[in-house]
Amino acid sequence: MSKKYDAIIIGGGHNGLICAAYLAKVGRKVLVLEKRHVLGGAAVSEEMYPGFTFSVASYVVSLFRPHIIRELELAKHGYEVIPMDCSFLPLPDGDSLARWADGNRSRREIARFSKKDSEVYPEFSRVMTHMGKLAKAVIDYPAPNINSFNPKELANLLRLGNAFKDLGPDLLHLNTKLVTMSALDFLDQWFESDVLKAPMSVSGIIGTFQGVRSPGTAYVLLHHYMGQLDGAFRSWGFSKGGTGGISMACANAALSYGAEIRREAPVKNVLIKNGTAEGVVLENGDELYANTIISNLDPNRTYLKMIGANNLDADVLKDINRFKLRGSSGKVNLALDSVPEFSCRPGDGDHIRGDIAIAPGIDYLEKAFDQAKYGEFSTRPYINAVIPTLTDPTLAPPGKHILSCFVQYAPYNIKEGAENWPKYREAFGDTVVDTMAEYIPGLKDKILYRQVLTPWDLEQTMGLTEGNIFHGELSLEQLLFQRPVGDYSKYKTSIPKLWMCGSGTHPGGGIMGASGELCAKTMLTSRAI
Amino acid sequence: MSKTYDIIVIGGGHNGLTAAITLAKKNKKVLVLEKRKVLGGIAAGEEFHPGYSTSGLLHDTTGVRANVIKELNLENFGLKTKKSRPTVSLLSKDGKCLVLSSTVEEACAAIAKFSQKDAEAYKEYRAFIEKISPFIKNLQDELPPDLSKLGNKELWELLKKGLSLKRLGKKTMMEFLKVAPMSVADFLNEKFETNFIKAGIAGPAIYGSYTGPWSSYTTLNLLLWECTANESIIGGPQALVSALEKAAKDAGVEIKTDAEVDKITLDQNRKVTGVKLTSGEEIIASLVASSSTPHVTFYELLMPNQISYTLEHGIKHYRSRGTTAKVNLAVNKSVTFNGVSGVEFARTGNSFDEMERAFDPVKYRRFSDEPILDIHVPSMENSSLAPSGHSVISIVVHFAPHQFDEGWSAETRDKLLGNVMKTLEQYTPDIKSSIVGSEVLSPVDLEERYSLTNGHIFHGEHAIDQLITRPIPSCALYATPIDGLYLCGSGSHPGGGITCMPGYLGAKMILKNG
Repeated sequence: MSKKYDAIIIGGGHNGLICAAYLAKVGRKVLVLEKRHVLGGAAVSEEMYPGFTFSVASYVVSLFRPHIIRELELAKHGYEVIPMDCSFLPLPDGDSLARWADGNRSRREIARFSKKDSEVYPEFSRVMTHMGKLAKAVIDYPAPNINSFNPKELANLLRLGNAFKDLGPDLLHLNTKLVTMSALDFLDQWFESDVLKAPMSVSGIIGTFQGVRSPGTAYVLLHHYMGQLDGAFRSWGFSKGGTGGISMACANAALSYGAEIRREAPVKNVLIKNGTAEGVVLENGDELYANTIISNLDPNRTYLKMIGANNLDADVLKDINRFKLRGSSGKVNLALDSVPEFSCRPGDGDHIRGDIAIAPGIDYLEKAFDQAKYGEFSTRPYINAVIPTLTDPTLAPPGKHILSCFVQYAPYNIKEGAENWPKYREAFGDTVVDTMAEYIPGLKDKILYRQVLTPWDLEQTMGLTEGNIFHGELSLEQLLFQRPVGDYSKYKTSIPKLWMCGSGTHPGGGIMGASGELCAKTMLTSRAI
Repeated sequence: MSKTYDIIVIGGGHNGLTAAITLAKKNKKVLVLEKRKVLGGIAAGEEFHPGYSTSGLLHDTTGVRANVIKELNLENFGLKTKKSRPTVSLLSKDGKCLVLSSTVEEACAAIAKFSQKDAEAYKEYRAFIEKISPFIKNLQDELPPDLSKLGNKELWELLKKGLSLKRLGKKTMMEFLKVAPMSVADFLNEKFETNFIKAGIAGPAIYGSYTGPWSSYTTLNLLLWECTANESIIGGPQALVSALEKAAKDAGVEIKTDAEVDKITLDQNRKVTGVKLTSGEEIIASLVASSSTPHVTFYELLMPNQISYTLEHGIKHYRSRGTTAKVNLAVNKSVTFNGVSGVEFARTGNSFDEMERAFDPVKYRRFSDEPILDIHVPSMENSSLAPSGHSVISIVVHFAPHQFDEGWSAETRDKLLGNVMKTLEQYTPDIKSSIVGSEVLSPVDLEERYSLTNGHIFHGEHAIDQLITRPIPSCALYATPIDGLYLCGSGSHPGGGITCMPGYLGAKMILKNG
């Protein structure tokens, strides 16, 4: 009843589960509390319709840190990712562009639109991959501390400085550009064809409240190039069993090391005595105690709900209120009676076994963003769709399929007020289906079941404040040593013994596992646990 | 036939003249070549309608550096300055007018009439500007770091810049790092509540840019302006040009107007030998400093085979999308704005969304129905610019694209004028009937008249990557890969606007290199 744990982790998302696994592996007594009946947070698989397993929110993986897979033996626990081979762009005029893992195949396709671009493309990929390797130096370590003269911190800064210096002046300049330019302006310096630039620039805006022309989005382009799957960079993949499969592998690893996991155990707030965290109170009133508490929730939820404004210094409260989490995306998941074929390139060939982008032009993408700025969801949105059942048939009954659509933009703060999103849920869903139907003849007749998640739903169901999928915008002022707030960017919070391990900490969002891992390792090396 | 000079300065704008004087004072034999009949470039005042003149295409002289004025002794040549920025009136559509004085106390008192919270916020805001000014001034007014090489010397310079940031103290430094990448809308929304006040303050963040107030890094643009907007020149930009011209002649600078350079001449080792004019005349010099835009310098004044692929590629992608138009109005009476008379400078922009909506269409190669206006009434200060009792209204219009689908013609210029008038009428209702003449300069007209690439008033966007190394790393310290060719205009550090700094620092670099 008043059993004391070494750590209680609030939230069973993938970062919390990884943190639990690392701590349990070295013998700590860990309890994970998840409010839902399923684990995984936004990396979750659910059978929303009989026989169909949806990756409800996140739908592909790439940035998952390989050393975590090895260190936690995740393959043994069910982690399996099948690489995606293709990025497909259907066009309204009946043409299309497919870019493949095989560079030669891509070049031949691109050359149909621009010979010059087809020649530049491999060079661009090579340079971005090189920059991605540099990014490892940033994401695989805690954020640098620029205020400390502690030798360890200085060594960290020096290491980072050397990594940048080793780039040489040309790539260093490129790095400056990546951090400050817009995704489109950056791509304009390499490519001429809109057909190529449009789908490439949108990876710069996924999960952000920015457009392809917005300064600062080129960096996020890199974020999505940094992935590494068994050594092959820029490879995105499907998790077997949906993205929930990754979370379950992490959960199984944690359980195998002796961690405890409780579902349907929502936490009301952290118990704070004499300014220090000593346990949690569940919604049902139960109190649980631990030497340390670790929150996997986003910074807003952690500080304002778990800790509470009255337990915060004015400065910290001010800082956390400045932390921006404006959600900009929604999700529409469809269970289909038969395979969806694209009229511009019919058949269920390997061109639709990767990701599919509805991004038929720069103006189209920018217009979609412009609407969101003024509180409307895009009438014709950017959609990143996948048909995971073509690669992993276990997700649906034989011959049936899933069309999973990530949609931008759907601003959390619609002009009618976020709480009115439910009124517009179906209209939003219709917009997405209408858009996809322009490319897939007969789509509407194939739909057996439709799940629509607006930013409001993401918040209500998964605890993502304002529906922000990354636990906070990935803009420069909220990254590195400023994530989530300047004074507390190394997994600690302003409350002693309360830590954070979710995407609202360095290195940021996506299914990386880095936050959970680095939190655990920081706690262990500092002997906090 | 061909005289010899130490240095030829291409362009007799304010930067070209500044560079020339700085060099001549160190006993260099300098020739300035200006293609137009008048000096001053976009700082020159023009008679746009018989009897009505502006005091400059651009209005803002707050960035002219005091140390340059001092070193060039410009006050000896008639220049008069005020050690403060001018009063600006912020206008709202519902008839309000905030007279934003240059002194913080007066400004706060005026703001307090609208919102006490905003008055306090403004005080804090100006205090923050004060705190970060030493760092910003160090960035803007010193030679930029050389990022084209990463040797110990260059790293040491970078480190020094980093340390000057640290010297602000932890709290100010962290605050600066927090706000600099933010959109100016987010930044000001944190502090202020009154929409037209926020939007008015934000103006300089987006003037001349390819961004709206919701774009990242616009706060840094605003801070750069705020920290260096400290003086104002009596008589406007034209007064500066007049003083520079006198100082140049006094220093022994030779000036030729109506003298357009056709090509910079190089010898077989790709070293500068001088210039050739469109008239055919050849002039010899071992150094050429171009205050023209980087595009003009490398693409028009040189032959394609004379510049390397890297240089060509870099300059080609140096972004200069012009988004500004100019409207000059000759008015047969004195003007009031929202009922207030005596206004010299005014800004419109009732809300961030309005400013953003003014920007949005340029991305689709159109212009908006309701532009943002940066207004100057130069006749207020200098009544000789218009007949007695009459006025000149000089308006810099945001945003109007250089790349315009409908094409710039008399018809579309009229349409733009119509939009400007409709907007202006909200603030000065009976203006239409009082207009006796007008001039509209689209970005294409600006390009033609002033050789501004794509009509960009700053010789290239003030995007952050283009401020860190301006225009490109190999030319960021004014010297270029062409032996003997330097840049000294707004397309170099610290950027555009009327500051004299690129000309000054460019000249210093030439002198440093011997």
